[in-house]
Amino acid sequence: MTNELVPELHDIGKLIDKKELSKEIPAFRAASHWFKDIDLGSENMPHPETLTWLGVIGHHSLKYLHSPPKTLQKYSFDSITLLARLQIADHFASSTSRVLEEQIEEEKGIQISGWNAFDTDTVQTIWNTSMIKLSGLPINNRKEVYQLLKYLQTDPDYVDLITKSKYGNFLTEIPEEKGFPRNVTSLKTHLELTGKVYRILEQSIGINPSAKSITYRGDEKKSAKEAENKWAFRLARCTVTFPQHPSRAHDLGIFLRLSQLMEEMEKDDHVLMHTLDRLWLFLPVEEGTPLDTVLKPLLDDGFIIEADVAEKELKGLDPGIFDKPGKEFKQYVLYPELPDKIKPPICELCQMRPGSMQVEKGGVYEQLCPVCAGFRSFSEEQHRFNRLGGEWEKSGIPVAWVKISLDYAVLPDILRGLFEKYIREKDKTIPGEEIDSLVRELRYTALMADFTRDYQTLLSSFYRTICKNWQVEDIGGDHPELLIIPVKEKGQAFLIADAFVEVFHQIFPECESASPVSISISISNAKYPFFEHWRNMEEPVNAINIQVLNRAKIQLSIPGYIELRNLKLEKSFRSSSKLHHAIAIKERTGSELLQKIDFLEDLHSIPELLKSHIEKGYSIDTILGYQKIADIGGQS
Amino acid sequence: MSLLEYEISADILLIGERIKKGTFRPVLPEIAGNGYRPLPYSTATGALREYLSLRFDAPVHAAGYLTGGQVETLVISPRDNVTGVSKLPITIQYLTGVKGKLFILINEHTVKLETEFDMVMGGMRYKGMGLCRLKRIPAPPVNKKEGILLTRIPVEALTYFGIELSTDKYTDYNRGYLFKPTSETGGVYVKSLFEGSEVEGPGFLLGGEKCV
Repeated sequence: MTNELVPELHDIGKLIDKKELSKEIPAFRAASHWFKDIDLGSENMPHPETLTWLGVIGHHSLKYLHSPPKTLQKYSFDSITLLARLQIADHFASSTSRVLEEQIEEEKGIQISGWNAFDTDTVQTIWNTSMIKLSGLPINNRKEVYQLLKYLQTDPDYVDLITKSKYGNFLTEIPEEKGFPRNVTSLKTHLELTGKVYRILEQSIGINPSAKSITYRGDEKKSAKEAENKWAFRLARCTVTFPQHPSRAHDLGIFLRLSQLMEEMEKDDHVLMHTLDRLWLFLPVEEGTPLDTVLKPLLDDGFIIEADVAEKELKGLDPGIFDKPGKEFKQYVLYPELPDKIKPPICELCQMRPGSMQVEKGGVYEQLCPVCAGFRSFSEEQHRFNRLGGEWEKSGIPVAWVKISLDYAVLPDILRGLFEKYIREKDKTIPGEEIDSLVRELRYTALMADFTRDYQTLLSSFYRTICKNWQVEDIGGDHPELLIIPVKEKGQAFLIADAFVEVFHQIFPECESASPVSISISISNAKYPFFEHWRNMEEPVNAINIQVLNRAKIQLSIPGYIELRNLKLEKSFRSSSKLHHAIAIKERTGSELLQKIDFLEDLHSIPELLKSHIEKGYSIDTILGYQKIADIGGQS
Repeated sequence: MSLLEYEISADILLIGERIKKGTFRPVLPEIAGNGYRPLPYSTATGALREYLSLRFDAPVHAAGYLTGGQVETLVISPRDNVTGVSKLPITIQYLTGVKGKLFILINEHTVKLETEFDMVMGGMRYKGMGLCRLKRIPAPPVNKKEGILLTRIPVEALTYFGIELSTDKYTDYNRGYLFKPTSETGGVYVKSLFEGSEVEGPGFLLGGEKCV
């Protein structure tokens, strides 16, 4: 029993199939998911007497804002504070910016004639519209409702709901809102975001009991709507970087530690979503919660954080704010504590702290700071990267550094496009202005959190595929974003990319032409300094980026890559000479025109080159890069 | 602020970061957005003091940036001076076909600089690297603007260039350390502002807006 309001349970009523249930209990036909106008007593139903139940029935109603039910008077609490926080959190975590008061009074949205036909009980994943989902809501008869209410009487918490109850599995399948076109985010993501935001508001929003108002930074408001319109909070989009130049295999302990820290920070309610090196924070203003306090675990370990911080009233605070023309946010770079002077030696890896520790390996002495030495020890203790620094280095076989990334900067724009496409495909007659209005209403936090979850599924699936086929070193965790794979056969780089494309197609098929997810594969011998690879992997140019350092490179969209693969140019031996000649012409003359003229001469005699360059439009550099990469693998 | 502006050119130049793992010395990184590389205050002032035969602590203030140059790699195997035995091979990155700009504040020492001269700068001079040709061009206007710093300057030297640091708790400065000699043979590392920092300062050291 929690004896608290558990915000993640506020929408539990959405598991009810009203249409089916109303066949047994007619009162549910017109009921809302907050049990409006349902007399549980007259239906011989259990009546939960918990603060969580107050959240269920009160989060869309003004009725209980100042007068909680008599059954809850045994608790000492202020109804307005709990419900106002919940209402604000609920709205922030929803996929639509419909005004709060509409939501409070009744469940209505933009109703356009004929659209109820597109309402669904299952979430419509706009980046994977063909995904098969569970059918039917779990609570569709009297007995199930009874069991639900009995369950709620036990005053469970969210962990219990997810791990022990029979309801947890449905939450990713059910939409936050059934009504088209808002049925695009999962109830689970909405509940979890609501929970996080609620707990942040719990620390920030107080009460003035005599005035029956809620307070924030000395300001008072009478309702959630007023608070939303006036009170400023912050949304921060952060990138974690590091000053180190990893030289030895065990210096990659920095990624092990970063992965570990990010998993720990996930539990912090300020963290809305994250990848290996990106995170989103929700915070009160600086005086309420300093930004560097939330980021302290990362700063204490020597990481540097680039933060874009938007401060705005809650109503307008959404990830889309970072896209808008006219910068509505500030950019900061947060560093750990830095001394004004450092007496030599300075740490050779990070060059930010005294190199107070002398470390010897293989006759080479290095001066490291405790932080960098710590990353190395961490990796050694975990027995990670031993093959990279051992047998792979000795064997002379090239290694592929594989990084998968999610670009949050472009994600809102891509989601916007997918949302529009979703609407148009369902209703081709809808006027453009109405679509624009719906798109303007769209809020991105929940959608992006859903996308991040599917991204993590992609990482796990890709990792399993790689492990089945090849040896791999990774940075740990359930969904590692950085892998190292020895390239033991020619063309293996393309097999790795093919595996990525296959998994991508299963999870994000609608994103193939414009993908916020990319793979970077960078190949060299094992000794080559990692940070040369990292410089390229940090900023991927396209969805598929494959390079052999200092020798060849291709950067293509997913459709472009698939088409290039289908041309099977690795089998075309005659083309190699012609391609090399054309490249040499350009290097000698600096003229693309002369290169083109040389290349086009007798091109018809090599049909595969003619097709790839003229018909498909691949550049000479890309075609030659493809052939060179296809030749890499195994002993050189 | 009175200053001299020079165009720099060099066939081979090694201005790199400190050696890693005892076996790799990378060249200074490109600045995002324009492909330039910083020519740090410490490198520039050290070279100028040497050229002018000045003490380690003689007041010289200079910084700049490289606008062009190709990165090449070389593996060398230094020998122990006593035994003649090869030590571990070192891979170094250097630049060829270098072009850049150097800005030197005028004082009693630097006023003597010729309109054209050759000066050695950077590392591996014994291998023939580092000979730079400096050619004076008309000095730029000293107008203050907001922009991206294109070089590296110690915090304590920023005021010489008319750059003031914000006292806000959070800034978007890129920070690091540069070497400052404190004797003929030694020195300390001092906190410095690195390229990419958004500052208000003289336009000649700044680039356009930071990419969002």
